[in-house]
Amino acid sequence: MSQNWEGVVKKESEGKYVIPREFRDDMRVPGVVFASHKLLPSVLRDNALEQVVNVATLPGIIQSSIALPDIHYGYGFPIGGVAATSLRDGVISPGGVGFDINCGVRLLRTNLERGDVAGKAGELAAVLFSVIPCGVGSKGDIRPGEKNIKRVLEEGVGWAVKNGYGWREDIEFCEENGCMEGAEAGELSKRAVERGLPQLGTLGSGNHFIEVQYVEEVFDNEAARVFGLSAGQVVVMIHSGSRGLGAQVCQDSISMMRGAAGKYGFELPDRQLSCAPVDSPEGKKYFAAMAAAANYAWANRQCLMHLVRQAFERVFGTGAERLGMSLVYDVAHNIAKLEVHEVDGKRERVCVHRKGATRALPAGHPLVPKRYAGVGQPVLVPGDMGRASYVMRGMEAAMRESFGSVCHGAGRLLSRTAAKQQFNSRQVMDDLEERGIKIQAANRKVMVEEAPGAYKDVSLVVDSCERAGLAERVAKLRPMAVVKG
Amino acid sequence: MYEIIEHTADIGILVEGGELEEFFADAALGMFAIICDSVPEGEAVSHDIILESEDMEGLLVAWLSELLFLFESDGFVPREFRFAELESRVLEAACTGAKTHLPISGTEIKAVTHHLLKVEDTAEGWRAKIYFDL
Repeated sequence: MSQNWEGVVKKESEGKYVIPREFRDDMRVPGVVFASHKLLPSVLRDNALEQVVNVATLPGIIQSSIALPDIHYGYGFPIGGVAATSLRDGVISPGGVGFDINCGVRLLRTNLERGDVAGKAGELAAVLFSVIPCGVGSKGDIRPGEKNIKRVLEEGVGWAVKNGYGWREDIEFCEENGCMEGAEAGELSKRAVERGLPQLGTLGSGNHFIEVQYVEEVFDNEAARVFGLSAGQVVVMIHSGSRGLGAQVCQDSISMMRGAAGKYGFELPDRQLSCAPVDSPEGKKYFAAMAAAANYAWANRQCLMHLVRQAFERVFGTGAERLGMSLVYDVAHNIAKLEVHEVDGKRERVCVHRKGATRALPAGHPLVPKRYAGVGQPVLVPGDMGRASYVMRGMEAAMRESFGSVCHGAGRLLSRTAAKQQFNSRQVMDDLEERGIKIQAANRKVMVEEAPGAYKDVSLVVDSCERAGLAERVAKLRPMAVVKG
Repeated sequence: MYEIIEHTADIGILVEGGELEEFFADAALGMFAIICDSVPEGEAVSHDIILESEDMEGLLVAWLSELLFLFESDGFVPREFRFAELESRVLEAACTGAKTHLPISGTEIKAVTHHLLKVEDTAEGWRAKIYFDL
């Protein structure tokens, strides 16, 4: 933990630093760090760069081992990192996705204004808290049962909509249309399925949340108009993932791959990078199970959105359609995708691992919903609960520089233990009160651990992405009511 | 004996001291000290656990993961352990504790990781740092 990274990273251009391939013998590609000059010290701090270097040793890794501005130390792979590998001779690694497969964010609109909601924020927080199961060990009321869980895993959002949890038009505005191809329910262990059965439509705990927000500032009028956002408008952000099911799939896959390094002759600097060739039986099994877990998470966020719509209906006494509560977009930030990218001047399908990183496609990209074609894919960047969240749009440079990826959120600055030493829940609550933010948390402790000061300033993270040309800010959102598990 | 340790994104425990059985028991108690904010109450229940793994680290992770699963599915919070068998690759234990009513006030652990995991047999007893994904 004693490496001085300051001397190692070399500035290549605005907001971009490089760790040369020669830095360590076993690196196959250089490391690339996207961060503004202001944010760089926090990037250098917690030894996340050692993990970026370790990832650069992976067999078949292409172009570079990428660190986004919200990078921090994780398990094996850092959080806030991207690694693309060749399908021919590259690997796929569960650690490059994370335990919470398809942890992600979605944003829905309303036609309410800040003034309509301000007086009811406390009530909204309370109703949301009562209808959305959250907290440690919480179970949900939406039960597909053993008969239908396979459909959830193989149809994702489609299953939810078919069963009355949402609208047909939600599907188009979800990454992958809320269902990844290649998902196979049969690749999940019995235990993973067991864990998933009672957890659909649950929030989870930790840094997951539901926030009622308002658009404080619009940076790009045309893009905001296309995204259906305007200053003062009330929106709702949902941050959750695949719950126990995804964690179990990751765990099972890590076990399955433990012997693979030896079997395929890999030498890995860290056991938690355990991986197998994308094209191997182990690699294919993992991908199929991961895709199923990803679909579960999309179904979960869809169900959560359904419950949010119901909560609003209760408080405002009118239907969610009338309230204009349509989906802006849903993004995954822990996932591995098979995507077409340009590599050495040729278009090639590669395996892109994003762990704490969000896909960001530019205007005109075929996977961007038609309505947004002229603007690009919305990128949702949640901050911490006291400060802001952002909506961005993907830019062309991201395709060249980061396999179409940007940051996922604020990124932690302090460990939970350090946060507990620095903050107390009364302080945090008072601070939020002062800003007029109503909060309902299943556990007071979470407020300290998730205190704004425990996170990097998301504005700096977003600014770094913009400086590097990866994405541009469209709007800034501020919390009005927060629900935390 | 266990002690909670730092990690930027998550949390860990340092477990040390004692014989193997005490070590495995303390690891479990340490994990549940993170999960539960206060001593949980509930009907007294017991669960039998039988596991095997390729090595000690794998066994420890499997042990804690099994307890995590029993907590998530049944609200089980263990308090006492009786090991019928405990060696480097095999574990057989009877665990007694409380069946709590979920959800509870605490910290959700998503998974037990292998991060920096090395189980050592030192002069002062068994020792390991175990990190959890939150």
